[in-house]
Amino acid sequence: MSAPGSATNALVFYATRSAGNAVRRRLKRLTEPRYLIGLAAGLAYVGLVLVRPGRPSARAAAAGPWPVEFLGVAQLAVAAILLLGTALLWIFRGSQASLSLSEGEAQFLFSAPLSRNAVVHFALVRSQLRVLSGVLIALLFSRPDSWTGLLRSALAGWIFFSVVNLHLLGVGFTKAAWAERPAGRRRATKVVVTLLALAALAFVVAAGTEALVRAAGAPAGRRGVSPVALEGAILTGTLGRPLFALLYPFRLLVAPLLAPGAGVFLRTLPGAVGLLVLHYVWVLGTNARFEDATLAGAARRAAERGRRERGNLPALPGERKRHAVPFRLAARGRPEVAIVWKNLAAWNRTALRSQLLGVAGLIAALFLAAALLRQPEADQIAGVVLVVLGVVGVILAPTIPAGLRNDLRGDLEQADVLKTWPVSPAALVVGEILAPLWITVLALFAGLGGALAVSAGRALRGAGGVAGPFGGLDALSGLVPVALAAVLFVPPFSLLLLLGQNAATLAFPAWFPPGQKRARGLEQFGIRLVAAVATVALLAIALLPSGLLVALVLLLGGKALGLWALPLSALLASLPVWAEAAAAVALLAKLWERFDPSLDLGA
Amino acid sequence: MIRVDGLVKAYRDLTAVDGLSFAVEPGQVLGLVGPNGAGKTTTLRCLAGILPPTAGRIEIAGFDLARNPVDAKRLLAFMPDEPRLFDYLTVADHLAFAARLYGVPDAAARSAALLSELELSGKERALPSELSRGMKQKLVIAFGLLHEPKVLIFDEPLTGIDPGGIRRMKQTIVGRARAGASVIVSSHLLHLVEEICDRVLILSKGRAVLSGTLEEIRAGAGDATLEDVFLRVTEPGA
Repeated sequence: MSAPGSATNALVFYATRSAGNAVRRRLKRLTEPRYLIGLAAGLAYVGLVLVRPGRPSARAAAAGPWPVEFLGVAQLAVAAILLLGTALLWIFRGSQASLSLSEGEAQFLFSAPLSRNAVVHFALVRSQLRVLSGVLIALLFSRPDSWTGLLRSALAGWIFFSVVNLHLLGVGFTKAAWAERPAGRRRATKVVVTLLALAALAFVVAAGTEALVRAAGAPAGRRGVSPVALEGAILTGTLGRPLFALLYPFRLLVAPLLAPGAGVFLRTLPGAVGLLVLHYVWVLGTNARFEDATLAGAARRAAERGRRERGNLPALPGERKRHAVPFRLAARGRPEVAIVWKNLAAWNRTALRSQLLGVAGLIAALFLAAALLRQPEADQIAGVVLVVLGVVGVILAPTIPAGLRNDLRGDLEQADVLKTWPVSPAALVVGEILAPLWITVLALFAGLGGALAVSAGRALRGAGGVAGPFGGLDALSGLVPVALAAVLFVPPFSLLLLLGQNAATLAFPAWFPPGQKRARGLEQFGIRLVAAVATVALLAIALLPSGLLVALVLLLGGKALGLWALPLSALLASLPVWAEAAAAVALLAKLWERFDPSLDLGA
Repeated sequence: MIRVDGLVKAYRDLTAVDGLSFAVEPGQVLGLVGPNGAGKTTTLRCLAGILPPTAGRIEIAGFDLARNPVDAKRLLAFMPDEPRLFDYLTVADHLAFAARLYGVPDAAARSAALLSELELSGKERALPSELSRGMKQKLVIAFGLLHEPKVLIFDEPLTGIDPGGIRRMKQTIVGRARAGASVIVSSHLLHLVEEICDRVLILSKGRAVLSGTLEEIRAGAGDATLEDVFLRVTEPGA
């Protein structure tokens, strides 16, 4: 490694070496089969499902090419929105001279013998590269029509978002520079800029209203006001020409993005590039002190990232909320209850009693609303609401806890702590699973209870006997057996799902990462894809005995029992699931006993 | 007491701890020292039940850690060098949680006394993110001491603690030993080891290279300091 010769060389060396090392690290990971398989799966998915240049998406194909007559109005509309946003930005944005640097970069760069401009250049150039990569990824997923179209859109998108990004930075820097002026001058500057921004806002609103009124007054075509007429109304109005002039820089920025073809794109590109250069020069030339704000911003981002990595759970509880606990935890009793308590507190610091009261209140309110509203439209809506509540409740009950990961998966990164607890492996597994199971039960009861309440409310005033929009399922007599079936089957199913996910993480922590970390990258996406397919396949096998029992009940007693065959089959179907869950607890306990954090987590 | 007999912890291409045997009697403080990578933390993690040993036997207060892990862990406390806490639990929550895990009978009184001893009074409602590193370390120690364990294992206990806190921490460690606990302190601070430990075990490359009371070690090395002895046995060329 040769020593860099100048500040610029040092920064280039840092940026390229960092990027190179990141790429090398990812390539090296591909020597592990899981990453290689993950990459293959990710590439296959992206290639087959998302990216197919030359084959427009179904939506694009249905919509056809962008109508040229819309372009003028669209350009004006986007430009006007940008102007409104800019005006609001100048009014409300605080003085934030914060560069997008990490904590480490800020520490090294600020203490290095580098000029101010060198540091700002570095931060700006790198943020533009990030914008470009973001735009490219977004475009890939938007199924471009052709590769040249993709490149055009990428360039226009990069310029657009870079200018927006630089403008945000420029306003923050400029306002920070104002803060260093004498108080009187600072206030005067703020007043003048705010008045100008307000005037621009008022002008755009007035011109837009005038144009809409004029367009509405004009003879309408077969399909209402045409875009050409609207554009004409804007341009020929009293305020039209000044508005057109006011929007000029914004139109410059938007033009390449909305260009219908390569010719227009090339003609409009220089204007947008000029705007980008002007913004770059503006930010670079703003003499604001950025060190403090950058360090504070970097620390904030690092803390947020750390928190996201440790737990994608609700925000940390505020001062007042901290007094509440799920339930009073007595010092004596089964130790695994402490784990349930901890996991419930991490999810929601509300007493369980209050949670139940909340659900009961919701159910009571729905019952009263359904019982008291007598209009036929309201009744129709109530019929839809109750079915939606029931369906959503049943769907959310297993999916919320599966996604929250406030169980062994979330705690596994603290394996060093968990391993020292005087709790048997089976008790620890049960303790870790009970909190998410409570969430399942609560969601299920909220959904089904709400549906039953609406149905009961309707039945109370005599609407229940009439078949609703769902062929009788929304009537109380139809809903009760369905709800009972869900109550019998969803909790064990959710339990099995949770146990399966936890077992997967314990057995294959490399494939199913513990904690809340969401590693990025195509190979990680592919790994998750493969893992999801494997999970579904295993779940299907696990549910096979239940499926056979359900089929048997429906075959033998379906006709005789009607809808009441559902709770009976759910009861029978739940038996093998409970048995499998018990076996899964034993398996998880064994896995936990053998779990070696130094080998399995590399800790 | 702590009894370790032929402890081995091996990975695919590395033996981190290689046939280690020692004992710590009640009331004793053992200083575990060694250069980086000597196997100190691996040894402590095996003793705490975090890592399963490849071979050997560990006995904690009369319980075989492999056969009766729950009984052994009930009498044990491990204070790691890096404080690991739960983001969503306050200081008071952590102690309530520990009280239930270990079945502490007079938890409220013990918690208050510990918070006072470790200068955490007034921080009961604080979350870990609102505590300094030193305070987090103290909370971990309060969590570990609440159930009055018979075996205490400290890994670099003074990291991030201010001078006043260091003095009180030393008093806490020695006080627990005087009350009958078996204590192991792993540290690179050899003056701390000389000050509070009765016995010293020097590890190098996973093996015990020297062990004994401070007097025995000094006498054997011609009244040299622990630092001299340490460098002599771990870096023979130094």
